Amino acid sequence: MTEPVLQIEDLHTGFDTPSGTVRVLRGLTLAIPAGQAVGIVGESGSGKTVTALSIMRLIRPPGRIASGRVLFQGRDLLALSELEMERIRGRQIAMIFQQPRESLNPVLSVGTQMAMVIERHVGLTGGAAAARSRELLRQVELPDVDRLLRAYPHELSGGMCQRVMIALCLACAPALLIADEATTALDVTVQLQVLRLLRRLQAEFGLTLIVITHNLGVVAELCQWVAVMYAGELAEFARASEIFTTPRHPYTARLLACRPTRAAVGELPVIPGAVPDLVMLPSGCPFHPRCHRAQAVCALEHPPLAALTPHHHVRCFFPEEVPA
Amino acid sequence: MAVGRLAGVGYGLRRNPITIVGLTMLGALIAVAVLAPALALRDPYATDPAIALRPPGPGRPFGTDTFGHDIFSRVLYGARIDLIVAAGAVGVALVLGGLLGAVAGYTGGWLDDVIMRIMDMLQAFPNFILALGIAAALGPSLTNLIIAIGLTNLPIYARLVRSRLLTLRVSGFALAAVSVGNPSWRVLLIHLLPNSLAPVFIQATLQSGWAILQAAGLSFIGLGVRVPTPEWGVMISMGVQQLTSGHWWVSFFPGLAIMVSVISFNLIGDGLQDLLDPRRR
Repeated sequence: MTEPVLQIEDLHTGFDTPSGTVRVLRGLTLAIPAGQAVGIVGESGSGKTVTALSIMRLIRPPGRIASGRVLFQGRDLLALSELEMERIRGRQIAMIFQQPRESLNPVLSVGTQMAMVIERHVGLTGGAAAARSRELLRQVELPDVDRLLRAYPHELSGGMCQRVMIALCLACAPALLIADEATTALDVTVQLQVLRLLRRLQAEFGLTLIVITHNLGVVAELCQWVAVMYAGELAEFARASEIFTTPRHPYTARLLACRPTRAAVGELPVIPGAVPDLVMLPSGCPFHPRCHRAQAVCALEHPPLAALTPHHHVRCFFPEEVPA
Repeated sequence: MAVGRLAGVGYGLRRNPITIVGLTMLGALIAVAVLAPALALRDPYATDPAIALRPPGPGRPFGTDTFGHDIFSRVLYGARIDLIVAAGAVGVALVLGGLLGAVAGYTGGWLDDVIMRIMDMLQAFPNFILALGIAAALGPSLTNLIIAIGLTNLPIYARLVRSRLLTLRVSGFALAAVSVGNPSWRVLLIHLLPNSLAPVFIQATLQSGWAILQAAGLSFIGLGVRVPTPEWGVMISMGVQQLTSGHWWVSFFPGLAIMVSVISFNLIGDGLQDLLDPRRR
């Protein structure tokens, strides 16, 4: 495993509501190896997006980061001033969002928006910025770039908007790119094209990629590592190849069993119950009420994150056995 | 693609002949204001007791008032003053109100509360009474007239921009703009404010007509510009005493000018609303 480019340590992020603090992240610890693609998966409400927004320090009130550290290239992002953070955002860490069309300013042309980012971060202006924009748009495999630079977001398809967003993010050659459900809003064929594009760019530029998704197919397509989140903490972390063949956390195992496959006939299995209420969490392991392997101790004690092998961490007292 | 956008506007206009009428009327008014010295038959300040209170006729199409001013020439010059007041007052209200509303809507919290409670105070007064009070306190002059009308209309723009920003600040591109390293003032000024301007421009056009009415009203009761100045409101008030004795033309023609200008702004405002709101096309 290479040196981590990003290290999240004991991160707590909560949202203050009239009925109490919703603790969305509860001591999340996660290391992102440099130059690799890490998938963060989990059900809705498991804290995936809040993790991304916490890294970027984009949590808005009533949300707040209560404690923890986010070390990026050795520096704690949470300790930086807002001004220093503005220099990190876009230049070092970039992010693409779920709704590509909504992420672009509707009243500015694509060329203007690209030129603004390039001017701000790279210092190129006028013709040089336009030339660089064309180059970036070609890199994300967009056709007819001259016409595109003059187009407004509403004239583009969702997939094109997402490619423009990716081009915008590449403008400053960031070390880390976070893709938050970047392909969810796209139709399946476009989804695959964007995934292949991301995979190519990751290899070509040595990007570190954090891919947030609830779609395990996306992870299989793109990621070398997988972090499974449940109720605001890490449930399992391992190589993608290992997770798919030998999941050790019962939750991961059930999640994989829920995937529709060609072989499956009839009704798909479901995980009984729902994601726990983050205001009133169950005692002990947050997954125990839904777990098929739960025993008495699971309701009483919170399992620690244990390293089964140096590269496979699981938060469970009774991990699934590896088939011999 | 800017050309494409203009073509879209052109297409919208063709389907909306009333807006063209409004634009034509406003264009004529502006032309009159600019060309007043060339079009006027006499100096608007020149008095001639010998021809006082003559009805419209050859050489004096709108007649003369008690001082022997040529009303036609004064109505032409009046377009200058009243259009300046309308543009100035709406400009003051739009810029100040827009910025206050933007800051209130974007930052939220206590600053939002303070700004909006001040706007509530301004709106608690009947519009004309407030303008009257401010104009009376500042003293009668063209600048003060603009300030008074501008201040009374400021809360409208503040509310409009604030309400747009409340939704825009949580929009995807606001978050995206921050995530590529924009400081919040840049997000506000470059990305959010331009996106909230369409309803503001509609309001500004409609408001211009009202501003002329208010300016004329304040001048009518002596709190705007002063008597010999060729301003439409002043001219109406100069003709009021003569109305009962049958000298209708003294007040009628400046009144007509006010009506034409207010209607032209309203037509344009309505047309803009249709043009900028795709649901009303």
